[in-house]
Amino acid sequence: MAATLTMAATTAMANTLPTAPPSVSLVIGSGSVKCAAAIGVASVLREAGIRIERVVGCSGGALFATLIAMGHDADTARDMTLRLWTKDITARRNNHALLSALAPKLMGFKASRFGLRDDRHINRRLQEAFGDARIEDMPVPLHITATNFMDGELVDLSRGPVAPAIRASLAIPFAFAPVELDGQLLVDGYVSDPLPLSVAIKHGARVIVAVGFESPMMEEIGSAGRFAMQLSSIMSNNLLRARYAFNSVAHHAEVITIIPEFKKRIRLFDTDKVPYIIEAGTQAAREQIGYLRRLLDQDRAIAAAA
Amino acid sequence: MELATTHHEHVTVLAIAGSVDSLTADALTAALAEQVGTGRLRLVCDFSAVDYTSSAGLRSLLGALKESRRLGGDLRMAAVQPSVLRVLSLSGFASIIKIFDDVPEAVGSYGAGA
Amino acid sequence: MERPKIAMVLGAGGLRCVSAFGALAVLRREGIDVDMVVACSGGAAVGYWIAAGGTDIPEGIARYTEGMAHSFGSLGVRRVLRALLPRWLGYSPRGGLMKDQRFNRYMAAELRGVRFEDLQVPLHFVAADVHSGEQVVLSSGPVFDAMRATLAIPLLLPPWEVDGRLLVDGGICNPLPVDVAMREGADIILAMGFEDPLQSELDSSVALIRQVLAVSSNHLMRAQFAFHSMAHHAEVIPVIPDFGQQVGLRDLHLIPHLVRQGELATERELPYLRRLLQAQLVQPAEATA
Repeated sequence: MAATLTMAATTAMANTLPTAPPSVSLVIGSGSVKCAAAIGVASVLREAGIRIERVVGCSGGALFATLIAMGHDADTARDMTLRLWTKDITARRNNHALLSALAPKLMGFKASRFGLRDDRHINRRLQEAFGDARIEDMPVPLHITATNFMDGELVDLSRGPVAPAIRASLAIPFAFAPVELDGQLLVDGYVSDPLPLSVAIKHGARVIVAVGFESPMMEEIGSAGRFAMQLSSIMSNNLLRARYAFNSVAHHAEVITIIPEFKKRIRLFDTDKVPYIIEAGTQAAREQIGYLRRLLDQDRAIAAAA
Repeated sequence: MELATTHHEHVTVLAIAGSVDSLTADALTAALAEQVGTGRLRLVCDFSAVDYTSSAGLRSLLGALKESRRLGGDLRMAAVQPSVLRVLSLSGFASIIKIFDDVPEAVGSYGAGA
Repeated sequence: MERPKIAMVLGAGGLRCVSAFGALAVLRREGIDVDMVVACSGGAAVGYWIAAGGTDIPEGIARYTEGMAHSFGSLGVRRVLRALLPRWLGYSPRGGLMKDQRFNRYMAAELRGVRFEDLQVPLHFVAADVHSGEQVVLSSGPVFDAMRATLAIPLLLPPWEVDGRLLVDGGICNPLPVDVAMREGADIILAMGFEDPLQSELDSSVALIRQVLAVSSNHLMRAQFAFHSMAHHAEVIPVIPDFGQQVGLRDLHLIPHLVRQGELATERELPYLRRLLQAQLVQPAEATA
């Protein structure tokens, strides 16, 4: 087995190497509007001269992963978010879906069309924002994750039109109808893995920067609806932790997890808080940037020496 | 457990026969370490003759996977039997390692002269 | 010289957990003793029977079958169905969950006076704290309260309070708790885990709910299993019966088939298990040579 290089030796080597830019893979997990913090993280990385070699996004993270992969600066990304993520994308009910749930056979229940919220707004917004842009054409390799609703497996969307892919990744069961893409029925990526580090690992990532969020616990659980949501959050959080733990053990390089601290409560459509969220992401990334730089120097030295 | 090593131009194939478990893990670890230690970082493990694997066996594979990747290489698997594939899925391996139907495909996945 | 500690971990799986009787039959035939039992949700009833030192397996199966039949009688099938429907379809929060008084009385009577400390081998049940989301391991005191907590399957049985914490089935935290066995010093872990079957046809909103829960739950089980197997030195042997069909809580007629599949699944792991036990017995002598 190759000898493990000491920190001093590797730093010395790094200083004498012709420099390939230090680079990381960025993984943005589910967390709805909180994922905007990734914009702040990306700007700190850019500031530090660290190249983002790949972006993976799940659920809400898919939207921000796309903005980053497109190469938008923080201000543009923020403005696009403010235009896209507004309350009215879930305001309207889908009455046909409601009826079909009550009388499935009579109303012709179709899983592929079942979503309690009318998705016309969100579809239009995504179309407006991204048009016919394709994932494989992005300046930075992009992966959007969803879940195959029939076999439960995680689906890595790395080719094809970006708007439907984001819509698929955001297809929260019941809220929005699943999306049919390339013969697969897709729902929200968080159902299979809320923070898909495995996609980055499988594609040869070395140092990974992960931005992920746990679902908050409810303060009071008075009704069955809240009870069900609480249990769902508990399971989702455990899935997040278990996948994270496994991926960390399985990965040969470090995973730097950036967990922004929000002093204010952020709800699903607190779009007005987006600038605050981005700033929180920036602060959290700044706290880790020193260590990240040293880590990248060491890692590049090891790879170069091999 | 039996091991047979074949060196292709840029890829080394380790054909494993028998059971990959806590009793055979040390031998596997040593064999893989020898390849990585002599700079053979592009590995394919041919699992066509592996009929059983346990968590200890998988830990041995994981060690080699991580070390080869750390040094810029990779470890990929080929021709895994259904019963073993089941354990690989349960153990999360399928999500982090590339598995191919046969050895030529696995070798080819490294690209020409990669 | 100590032989390796063997644990049986029985994961959540509803009626399928009865296959553990089949696994136990094979172990008994081989003269392999189980040193500890960890169970979650449906695995609790069989887990308890094993930890209590049950010797007559057919009798154990009969009692289990009787218990299941009785449980459904007291819970009421139609209520179960209504409880599975989402709230906005007219199901009320208070009345929606099961009326469990008869079930509780029945279970309490069966387990009257039994404490964890009285059992033959250590037994651990896994539950989840509804408010904090944390996993809670129950290993002491009255078995009834712990079992009632781990059996509090969401939408089927109401939560249960133990030591001031409101608990439900541990399946949302840790459906196949091999880590508990590891923490308790197990060297060899026989892990019987059951994946939730996926719906082949999504023809109603209930089917959708089930599908989402099944998918996430399976990923959770696999991810935890994967992590613990990789991170710990204990040898984890997954015993996964192949049932070949969907099994509902009321399919009591399938019990003999389920037990048989449990036997077959365990027999498949026997060759390695035997080698492992042989080797572990031999090692200490070699070490001192």
